[in-house]
Amino acid sequence: MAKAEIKNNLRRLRFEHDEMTQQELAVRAQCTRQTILALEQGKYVPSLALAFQIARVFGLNIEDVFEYTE
Amino acid sequence: MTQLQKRSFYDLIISAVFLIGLTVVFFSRGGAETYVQDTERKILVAALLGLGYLLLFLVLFLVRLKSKDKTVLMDERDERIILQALGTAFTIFGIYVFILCIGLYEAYNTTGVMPVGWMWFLAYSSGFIAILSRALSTLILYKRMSGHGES
Repeated sequence: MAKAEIKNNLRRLRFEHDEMTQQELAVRAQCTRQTILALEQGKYVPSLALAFQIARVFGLNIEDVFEYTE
Repeated sequence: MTQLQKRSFYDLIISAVFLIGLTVVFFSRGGAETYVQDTERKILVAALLGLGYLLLFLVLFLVRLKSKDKTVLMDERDERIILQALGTAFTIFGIYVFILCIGLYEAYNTTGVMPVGWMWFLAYSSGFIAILSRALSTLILYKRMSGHGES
């Protein structure tokens, strides 16, 4: 079975949204700043609920924020 | 550093220090063979145990996991780390108890009589081993599931 990977565009999206800080995103997505940092560095894969929350903060669909690759 | 990381760090330090302290006191002046008759040593070990647990209890209050403002101090990643750390700690704890029991069996197998002082050591040390392994697993998992960077 091929190893799947979930990438995200969080860093780019933050900068496109008035250079939103990790802390601001964390507060709005109801998670910790450390989780945002871990997500951006590809060290953590969020739950579906958190992924939807983050996408909602940016006003985008989940596929626009997270990318599934095999 | 998250609040849970801070708490785990303090737990690790406290449990390691008191585990070493208990072991040193227990094995001084004759070890398990003379432990039960040595009232002074029993009181010292009990005092160390009580102080250790008191400090661990204080950490629970001093390192808060609730925030007054909107900042989230613990989220799904922390919860996932807690669960994984508990699983690892349970395994380490089981291995520790198994190895100690088998070691004692092998040591006293021929005589058929084991000093009851070893039961005290097993009881005292297993508590700190459980806390130490949980705290260490938590810190290792945080290291693997996080990074350092901008704020």
